[in-house]
Amino acid sequence: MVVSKVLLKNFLCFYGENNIIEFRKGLNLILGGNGYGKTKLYDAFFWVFTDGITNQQGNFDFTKIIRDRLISQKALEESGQGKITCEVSIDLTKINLEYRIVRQYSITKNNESNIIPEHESFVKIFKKTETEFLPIDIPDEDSFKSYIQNNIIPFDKLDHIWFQGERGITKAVDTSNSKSLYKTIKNLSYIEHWEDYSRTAEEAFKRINRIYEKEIRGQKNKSKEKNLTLNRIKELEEERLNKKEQIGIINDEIELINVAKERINKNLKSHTRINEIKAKKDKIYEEYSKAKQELNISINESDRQLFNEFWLIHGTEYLTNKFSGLHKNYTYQKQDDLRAFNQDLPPIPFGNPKEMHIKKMLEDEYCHICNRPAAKGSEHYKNLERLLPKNYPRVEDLKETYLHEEVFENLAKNLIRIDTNKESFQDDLEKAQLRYYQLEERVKALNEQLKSVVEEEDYLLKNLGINSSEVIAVEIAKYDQYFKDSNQNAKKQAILEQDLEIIDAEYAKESEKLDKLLGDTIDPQTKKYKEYFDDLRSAVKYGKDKEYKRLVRMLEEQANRHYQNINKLSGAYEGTIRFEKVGEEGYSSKIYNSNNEDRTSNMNTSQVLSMQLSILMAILSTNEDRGLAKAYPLIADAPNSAFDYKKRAALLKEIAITFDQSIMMMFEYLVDDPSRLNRYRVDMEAIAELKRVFNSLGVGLNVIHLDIPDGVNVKNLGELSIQIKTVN
Amino acid sequence: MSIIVNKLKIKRPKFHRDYEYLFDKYSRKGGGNEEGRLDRAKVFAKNYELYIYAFFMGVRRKIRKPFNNRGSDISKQNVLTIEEWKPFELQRHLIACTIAEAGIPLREYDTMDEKKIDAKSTELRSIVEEYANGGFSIIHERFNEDKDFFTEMFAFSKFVFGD
Repeated sequence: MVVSKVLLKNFLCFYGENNIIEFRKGLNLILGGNGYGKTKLYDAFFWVFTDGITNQQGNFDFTKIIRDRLISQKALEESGQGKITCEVSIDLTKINLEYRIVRQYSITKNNESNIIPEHESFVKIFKKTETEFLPIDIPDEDSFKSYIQNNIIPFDKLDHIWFQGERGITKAVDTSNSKSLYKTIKNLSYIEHWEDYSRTAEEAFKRINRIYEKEIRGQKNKSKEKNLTLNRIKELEEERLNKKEQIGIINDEIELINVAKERINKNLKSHTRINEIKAKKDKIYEEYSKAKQELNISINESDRQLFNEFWLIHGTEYLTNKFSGLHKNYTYQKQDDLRAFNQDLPPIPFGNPKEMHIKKMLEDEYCHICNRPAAKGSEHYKNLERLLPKNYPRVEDLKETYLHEEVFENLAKNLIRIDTNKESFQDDLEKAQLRYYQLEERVKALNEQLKSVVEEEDYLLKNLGINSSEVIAVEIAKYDQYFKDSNQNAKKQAILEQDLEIIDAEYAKESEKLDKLLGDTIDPQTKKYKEYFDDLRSAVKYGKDKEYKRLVRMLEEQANRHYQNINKLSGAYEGTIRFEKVGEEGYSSKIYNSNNEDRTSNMNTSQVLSMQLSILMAILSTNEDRGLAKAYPLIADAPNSAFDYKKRAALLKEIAITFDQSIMMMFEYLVDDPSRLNRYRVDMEAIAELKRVFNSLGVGLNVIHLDIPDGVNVKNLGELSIQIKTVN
Repeated sequence: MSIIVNKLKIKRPKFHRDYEYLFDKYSRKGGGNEEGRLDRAKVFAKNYELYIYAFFMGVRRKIRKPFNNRGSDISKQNVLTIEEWKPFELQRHLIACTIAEAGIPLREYDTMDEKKIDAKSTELRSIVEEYANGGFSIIHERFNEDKDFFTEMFAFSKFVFGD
């Protein structure tokens, strides 16, 4: 069953004729503040199907009690004289058939103060043909209920699938009452068939037994002895049943101990596994750290090569070439200057006169080299003067005028040095990029590996309680105790079975005796049937017990899966849920910690609620084909009021995975709207995050915001109307 | 007599205050340690690195934008004097490019008197500033096209090799 649309006309706070909410498969979130119509919407569903609305105490108030209060106060006040009708119409699909269920209730207004309410509401069912919805003939409320029960949804399932969180979900699942939990399990699971088999077999046996006994007691012959034997046989049957029960209890204990032993064994194996995982984790972590470090270096160095490897000079050749040209000209000019200097030098004098000789010749005004006079002021004298070192034009003097030679030389050399790299710049960049991406991938892959190892380690540590060697020692001690208990139980079992053998032997003897006393007087068919039905009821009881045990194990497993998923992010849970049999027809749910201690009474409200919801979801979904969770939508109003935001998101995720369709009314995911007075807006960031998670799960998310126009006082019912807004 | 290169080296080039945000975004002003560099957006360890980057971008794209380094449009943020710019190879390369751009036969620098050397070094600083100004304008334009462009890995390198 999938709900596709609800239309509310003047129903409670939904004023007006056009309040339509469209639903989709997946999770439908209806967000609204207090007094914004969430619970009224929830009530609308129940009203259509049951003609009643749950009150604050969790009981039903029917239309004939509520009457005109069903109609929008605003509509009542605004309407003139005449008939005023409220209506809820639900469109749904069930196994490819489309239905529309419409319930209406009317009053007649004569004047302001005189209202004549009708005594009952009217309901119609329409079925869609190819073109239109055609009404189905349902003359009264009983035939409506019968149609719904047989074609749409059984009423005994409704309470468990549609519930109101603030009024307590005990109506949906009461984990504090063992009989109620047993009933819920029975009601919602396939085990119900086994109850029927058991009841039928027991009744069949009783019936044939009555005929059998009647036949015996009716015979006059040796009647006293026969009666005595029969009574003894009955006593023996009783004793045999008692023994079998005792053996059954011992067997249950043995099985429980075996389960516990199995768990401890698993824990001990897990301990070894944990050590292996820790070693693996350390190794991956080491590789991860190394890769991460390399990646960080790569990130830090990414653009540093612009400077370190001089990538920056790429494309500057036209200027460096120009500089090289200028520098070449500079060096050529120096060479030219030096050459010219050498050409301009005076003729080199013969020999190599020393300074003292030149001075002597100047004093003498006579050149001893040329052997001729050199009067002061004459050309010869001047030539001699030039030979003196201080006046001689030196090449060093010329060189010194090239002040910038060294600095330009350095600049030029530098150009050559860094220019040699430029061919490979782009290759180097590509290599650096490739290396970065490879490192990034490697870090990502190692991180994933690390996460999965940590998750596995976490799972073993948290869920199996293997967190220290001390715990292991306790587990081993427990195992030893269980071993001793098993031995004792085996002894007890042997004694009981011995007793049973004695009883069986006596029973056989007494039966033989009775057979002899009866001779051919009893109808052999009756006797045969009695034996058949006795065997049948034992077989069915055995089958039923076995199926219950199997179901309970499945329920435990499912409930724990939900419980962990809802709680693990907030880290506020411990232990595991266990179902314990209480008497013949009772189950209680408990939470046990890793030390096998019952922690149920120590749980806080949020933990209890998460346990209850987990059990409910488990009961609804534990079946080969996900049972009721697939067949019907979960409709819940404020199911998570005691949860923090992490737990809330986890719960929504869990519900969305478990149910094909769910409709959840809640206040969360709304925040104050600063632009309006006393109004809320949707926390789009949180919804976007939720959508992202749901997308990854492949589950649809449909968000509806219930709003109230500005200026309307929420508490003034006479002016209250609700605006339905789809959030994109 | 002074050496032109030494005179240029002690200059402190300026930039337009419109580009201050680039320094805020991509440069860690006071230098800083390795850890600081983990901040991906801040590719440049010091202001002068961004300045060098802009200069070479200007040279590469041959965009030398006139720049008046006086007045209220000048950023008050400091870039160190050129002699502090590292690596020294790039500092020298930048000076060589600047001298080449000035285009004066190198021998002339030997013959300049002190006053002329001073004036010439100021001219060279202007060349540095004008190329950097051109570079900044290209970066600014790219940033405006895509505000996230320079936060990508290797963005500044790819930008150098791009057209």
